[in-house]
Amino acid sequence: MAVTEQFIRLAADGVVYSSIIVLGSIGLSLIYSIAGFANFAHGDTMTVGAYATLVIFGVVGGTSMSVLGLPVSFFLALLLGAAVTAVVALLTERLVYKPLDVGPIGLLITSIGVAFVYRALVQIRFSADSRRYDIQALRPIDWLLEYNIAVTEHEVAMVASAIVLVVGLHLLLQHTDLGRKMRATADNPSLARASGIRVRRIELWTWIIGAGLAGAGGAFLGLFNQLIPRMGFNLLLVIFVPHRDGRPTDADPDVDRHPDRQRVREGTRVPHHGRRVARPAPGDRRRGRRRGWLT
Amino acid sequence: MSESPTEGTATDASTERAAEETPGDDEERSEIVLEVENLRKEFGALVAADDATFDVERGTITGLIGPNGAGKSTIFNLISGFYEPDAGSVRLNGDDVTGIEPYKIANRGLIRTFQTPRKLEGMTVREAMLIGPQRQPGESFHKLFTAPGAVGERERANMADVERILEEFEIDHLARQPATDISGGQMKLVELARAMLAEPEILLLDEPVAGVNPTLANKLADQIRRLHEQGTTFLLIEHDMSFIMSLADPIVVLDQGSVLMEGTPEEVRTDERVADAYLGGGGV
Amino acid sequence: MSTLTDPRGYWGDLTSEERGVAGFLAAAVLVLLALMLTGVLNPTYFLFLFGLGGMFGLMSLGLNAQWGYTGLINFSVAAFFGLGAYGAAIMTASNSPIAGDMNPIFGLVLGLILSAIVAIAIGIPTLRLRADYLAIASLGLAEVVRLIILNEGQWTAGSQGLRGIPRFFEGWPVLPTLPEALPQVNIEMIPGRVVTLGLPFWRQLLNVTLVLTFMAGAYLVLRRAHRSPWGRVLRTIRADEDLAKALGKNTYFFKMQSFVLGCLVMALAGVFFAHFQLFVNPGNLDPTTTFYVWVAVILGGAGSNRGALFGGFVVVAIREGPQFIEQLPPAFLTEFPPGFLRDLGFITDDVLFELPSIAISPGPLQLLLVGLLIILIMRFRPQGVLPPQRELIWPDAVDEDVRKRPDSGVRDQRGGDGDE
Repeated sequence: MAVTEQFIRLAADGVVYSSIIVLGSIGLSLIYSIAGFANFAHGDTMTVGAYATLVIFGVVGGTSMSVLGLPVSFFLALLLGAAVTAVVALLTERLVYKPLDVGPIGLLITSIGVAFVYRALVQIRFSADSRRYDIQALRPIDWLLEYNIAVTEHEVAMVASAIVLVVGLHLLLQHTDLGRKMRATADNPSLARASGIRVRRIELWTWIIGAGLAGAGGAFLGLFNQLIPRMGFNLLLVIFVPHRDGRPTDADPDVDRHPDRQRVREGTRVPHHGRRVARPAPGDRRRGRRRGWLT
Repeated sequence: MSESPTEGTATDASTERAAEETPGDDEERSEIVLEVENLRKEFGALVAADDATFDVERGTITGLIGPNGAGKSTIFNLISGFYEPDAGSVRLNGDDVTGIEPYKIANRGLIRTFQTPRKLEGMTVREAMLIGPQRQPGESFHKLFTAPGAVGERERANMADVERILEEFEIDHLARQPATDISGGQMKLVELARAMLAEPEILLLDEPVAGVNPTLANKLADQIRRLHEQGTTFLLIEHDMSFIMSLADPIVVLDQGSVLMEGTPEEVRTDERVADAYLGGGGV
Repeated sequence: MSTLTDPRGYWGDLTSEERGVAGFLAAAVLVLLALMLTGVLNPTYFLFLFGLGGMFGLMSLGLNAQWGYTGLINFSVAAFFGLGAYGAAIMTASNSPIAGDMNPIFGLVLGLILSAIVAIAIGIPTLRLRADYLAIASLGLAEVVRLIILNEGQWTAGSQGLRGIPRFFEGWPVLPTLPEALPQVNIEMIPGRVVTLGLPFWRQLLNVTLVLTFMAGAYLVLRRAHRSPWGRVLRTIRADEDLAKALGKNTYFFKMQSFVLGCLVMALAGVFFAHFQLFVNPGNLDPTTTFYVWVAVILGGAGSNRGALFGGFVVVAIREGPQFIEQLPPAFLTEFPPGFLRDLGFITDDVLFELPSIAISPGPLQLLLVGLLIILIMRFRPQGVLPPQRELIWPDAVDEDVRKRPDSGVRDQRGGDGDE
């Protein structure tokens, strides 16, 4: 049945896409609960991760050994990229947020400034043009296509990595000393401080973990799609914006005129499957955008 | 004055009832200002209020005491509408006000203060005081333009009230100080004075002398007595036993979310259950 | 008034910040005048910039009425601006799919109604909740409004935009033809450099008059509303919403009023824009505008109307500044990576960062400036340049000769409210 097929496709795409979103939103809520403010720079932190991975992968280069269609060196670059992102976030925390004497709303507004600075620096450095990782695009896995699931090995790798990271975080939070202290601090910072937890250290770990996950999420986003300076900010909107029913695609005349999206179109990944291009990706539906940065 | 006549008469009527103790069907209604019945509130596994039941009679200063964590502040929040109870009811002047919005409860004559004085960033003391009066015509946007005369008239009247009550509280020298720059004790006085400007029938004070030096605490007690003599009913939470024993009668003792006993200060002082509760549960 | 009757006393009453800003403004006006009279800055272009400044000033006033008064976080300034602009354009543009060619007054009304409806619609679900919810919802709303305008071409002409919008005073007596009637004026301050004030200048001057009228109107309404019991409740909500509730204020309703009022002022800026630029397209709803307006309000000082206006003009300077830089590229922009970034250690000569040299387009530079400005203000002067000074008390009531009321306790007044 057509409806079921459509559903399966959307579900498959949804799973892949959510795995990226999850990596972003975990960091967002970790920082929200421990640092105490909605960090509007979190999306752009993902951008930083994506570009850091791009630079590192460019240096390391591809290796012949690959897992799920991805060179092993890409995983290495991804980890290093996440580490770089964590360092950037730590520096930001130390230089920008820490010295501030403003409430959570003031921090929220400051984080917008931070987001702009990240994005501006990325754009100055790498231009507004889209880039991609030097990795061959793949066809969907054949045997899954029989079930109408168009998923590439890369996407499987993303979901698997996201699961590993999320499970790892869960174990960390539930079963380690650091995790218990993080939860205690999130529940009640003053009580945590009174009971001898070094809250400052917990805060720093929160930034490291949150930004690290965001960096990995950004790299996957870049792999799933391509890299543009606005990618993280756009994703931030996706995380925040609730569903709006997308309607069947008809030409969106603005696409050709809007510089960002024009680039997206030029950088559109190779259509590896006829039906894949024709239907809206879940992200488009979420944002109500007919054709956007995901197709 | 442009105060709406219906609201004015409602207040007047209830005041008169209280003053004259109108006989008849209304008698009981007018005697009891606040009825708390089987109030229950759970936070996860913690039962903060457990079938708490008590009344506050008109013209009393009722004390609410109990060891730490007995649920006093929770009860206040439930009564004043800041928490929604899981079960039970709150009646104000006989009307069910369970779970209605805090501002509506305040409009019906129940005003509360907070345990930690609320700092009003960017306001002077007198400005912060001027929030107290209810039903100001100047609080409706269109009247600022259609009836500026009435707005100004009421504002002048309110300013005069503010000045007078600040004098009565002997803090008139603070009128133009930033509200964030005064001491905690002075803040408590300002809060009490402001609450009085709202002309409450019943005033809920959450730890009025916590962190206040003894001189100011005595001053606060005097003010509460004076206002009480003028007809305001009080319900107050306080940890300072000598303060509450000298001021309140009757006293309601809470333990683990429910009412342990109710009685005069003397009865409370001699009750063994109360001593047990404080010794047993007070170690938090 | 007091400025005219007692200028010296007025100056004496100013705080040091106010004096600083006044001095800064005077210097800026003098420099701009000098630039114009010497022919460096085209007077017509200056008026254009001034119109833009007024437009941003209006939006800042609107946001100030939300964030500065009440603490509401609205990230869809651009959307409400866009609704005003599109409301005006739909009624008046020559290619409008539904109405068109009507008197600009109808456009003004439609723009205001649209923004009020959308403001209420977004306010109903979010204003009862914590402050961050409005922030997040409005962030999404901005995008939704932009996409609706983009995609619903049967109403908005989609990405083509709406053209042929008349000037605002079209159809009024005298004013539409006034610029044509005014003579051309030549000023020659420096021999050989003639500054001509012709038709474009007079037209632009009429635009500036319009924006000044809007600004003055909005400012007067907002000032009266702010220094009143109403504004006082808003300030209480901003400081401590629970306290306002405990004192019997229907905070949800107050927040709604403040939100709608601010959105109306933003829409007014949009209406002006439509008749200023004479065409609108979805690109005008660029979300960055929202953040420029935020910078303006924070810079000016949240809660201060004058600060908001000041911030609006400063922001236009920031916005237009990088374009001048592009025209006359200073040394640090012609090399890449720029020296100032090298000094920061952000970019090293490492192989990693060897990229072909590219010029910095004004886009990211603006973004960087705005971002840094936000961070620096929050760090060093979170209260802004001109923080609010006045007590929010109805001006009549703080006169020295307050009428004394009978000396009696508050309680005694209770029964006798009627005779006050």
